[in-house]
Amino acid sequence: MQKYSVFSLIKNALSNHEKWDLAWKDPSPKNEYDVVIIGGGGHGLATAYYLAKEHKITNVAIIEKGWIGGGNVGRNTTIIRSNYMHDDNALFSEFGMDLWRKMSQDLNYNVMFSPRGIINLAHSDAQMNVYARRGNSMRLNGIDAVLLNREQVKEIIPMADFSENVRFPIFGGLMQPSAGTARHDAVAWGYARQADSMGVDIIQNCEVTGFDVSAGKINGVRTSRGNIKAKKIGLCVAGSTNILAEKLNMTLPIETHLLQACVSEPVKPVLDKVVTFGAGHFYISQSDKGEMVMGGDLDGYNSYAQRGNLPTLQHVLTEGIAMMPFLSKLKMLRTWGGIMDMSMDGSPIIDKTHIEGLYLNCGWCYGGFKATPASGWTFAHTIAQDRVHDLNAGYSLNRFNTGHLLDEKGLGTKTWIS
Amino acid sequence: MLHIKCPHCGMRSQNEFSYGGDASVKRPELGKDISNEEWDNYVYNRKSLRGKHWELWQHLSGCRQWIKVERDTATHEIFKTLKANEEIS
Amino acid sequence: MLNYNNVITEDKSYSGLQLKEIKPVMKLIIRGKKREFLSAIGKSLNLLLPTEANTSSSSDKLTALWLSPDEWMIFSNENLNFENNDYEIENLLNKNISKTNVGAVTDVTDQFVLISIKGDKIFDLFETGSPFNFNDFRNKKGSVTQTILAKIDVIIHNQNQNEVNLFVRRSFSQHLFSWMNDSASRL
Repeated sequence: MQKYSVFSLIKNALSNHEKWDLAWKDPSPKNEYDVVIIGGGGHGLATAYYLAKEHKITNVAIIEKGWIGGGNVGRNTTIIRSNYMHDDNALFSEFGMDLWRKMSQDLNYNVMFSPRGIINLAHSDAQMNVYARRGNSMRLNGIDAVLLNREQVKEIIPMADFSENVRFPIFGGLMQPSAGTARHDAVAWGYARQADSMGVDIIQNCEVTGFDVSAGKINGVRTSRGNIKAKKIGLCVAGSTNILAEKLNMTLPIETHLLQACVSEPVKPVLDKVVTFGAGHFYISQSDKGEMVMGGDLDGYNSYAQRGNLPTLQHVLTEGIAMMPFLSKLKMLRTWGGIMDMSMDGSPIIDKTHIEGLYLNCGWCYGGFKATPASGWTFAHTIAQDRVHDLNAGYSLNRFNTGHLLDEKGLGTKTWIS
Repeated sequence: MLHIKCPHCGMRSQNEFSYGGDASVKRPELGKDISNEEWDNYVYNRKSLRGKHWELWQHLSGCRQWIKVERDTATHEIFKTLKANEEIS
Repeated sequence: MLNYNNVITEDKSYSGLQLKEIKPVMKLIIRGKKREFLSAIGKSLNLLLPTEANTSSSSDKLTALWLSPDEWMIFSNENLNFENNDYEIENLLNKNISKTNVGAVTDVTDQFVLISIKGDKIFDLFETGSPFNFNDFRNKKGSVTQTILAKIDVIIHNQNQNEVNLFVRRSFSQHLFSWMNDSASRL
């Protein structure tokens, strides 16, 4: 594989950039692999990469129904954070933060990681108390957290509404300075390129039609491009998890829901933090191109449509304008939707299943992007060693039977109610 | 925007409704001994079908009745609506 | 602080629109499913409750609005002159409905604010903030709908040509009234 560097850039400039190698190949599926990963999104690609890098398992195929990076890894609002209170979530995502910091070097691909900080706004004394508690929990787990008062928040984001007569006055906020954003497509492409270079087959336009299971063991997968044998198969398909689970006669604690996001027209730099509204569900950051990147509530009903409806968008942007009134002057450039695998406690599942050789990675709700490296790393470990790592031990499938739920938000089983 | 035909009030906009989840889920009978598995299936496990899906909605800003709606989760097309006490055929 | 006596302080007038609060008007919510309930109401009030959805019925003194299959709002047609919450009709219904367990009677006089809207631009105003299709509603005298106006739950009653009654919960009424004025001034 050609290494990307300033020298390769100069060299290729001399040939009008016409002689770059393809970033990854387009192979046909072989008859058999050691491991097959279903789903060529961020998590699937990262899993294959860490299988090859950490566990030296390179006879791996990623099979993807569409094209890699066409699902949620290309549809999210690129936020990376580890501001969780519960240990399982905090330690897992802080492990991920380390991988994010090293990612561009590690992948030899600029993922434009920008640790610009995230501020969760508080709009009442009670909320300040909750944030103080969460901040303390974070610091106990080695994650940076700063509790800001109203004046401190005003200094950082003066464009928010600090006038006296507002419905949800800003009391302060909780900031994680090391959180930030990254270029989401680059993450998918960077993992794909490195995985490919280590021998992983990335097979696109290949739909799974069924599984070969006998005597409680997985033997392979049937696809639109032929049958593929494998003793180990990892499911990494986010919003499509239930569709594949049905083919395996499994019913999972997951519902698929729709989440919309949108960007405004590009404007000059105005916001250098990720900011979330505390009195509803709205978050915003400014992309490198100058667009305001915004998102919020789920549409609120089961959906596989990858496109949303106006009422939710209207509701979300009303919150945005309440928080930052200048947004009302901006024109909307694009809106789009993605489908979320909403687990019943709001936390993910990375685990083995009752079928030997079948591994499950799902339930990311709307927090999957930031988890990409940690998810790939722990899922690769789980597949390679056939046992879960300490980091993902809390993300077990049977916690719903044993009662060890990881309900970070305290929402109960209807996580689609926001 | 979805338009849902409330079996009581007629065609109304999605804004007036709130969603109540899969309508095919049945609560285990009260007072009956059931296994943990049956209870988990009721509380947590969902088929989350792609395609035709019977679901509960409440006409919150209208007559406040719960209704059943058959909707395609891939296209958002609505085929049929029933009163809460009417059986899905 | 909400002013208990005077939620909406002045009447407003625009070209093709007049808005004002009507009070004091008695408002009751009655609920019941049994056949005895309907007949007891009929006998007590000399009024047949509308059973068809989205409709109303009225007598000399009272109007009944269909709200849901087992729920109606009854309000007095005339402004009453009262200093307290003691209404003859409510007492009668309590005796004949609540005490006999055939249904429920709730006094919502102070919970709902009644705003009368008159003029030929009523539905132009509604269309600026409601997802409801008023096409059939506006042509049918006596029709009733519960819907959303400026994100607020409202009950709307088509009293007459170019005349509607709008019921809104008291805590939302000031905001809704100011929104309606804002919207009316731009029609």
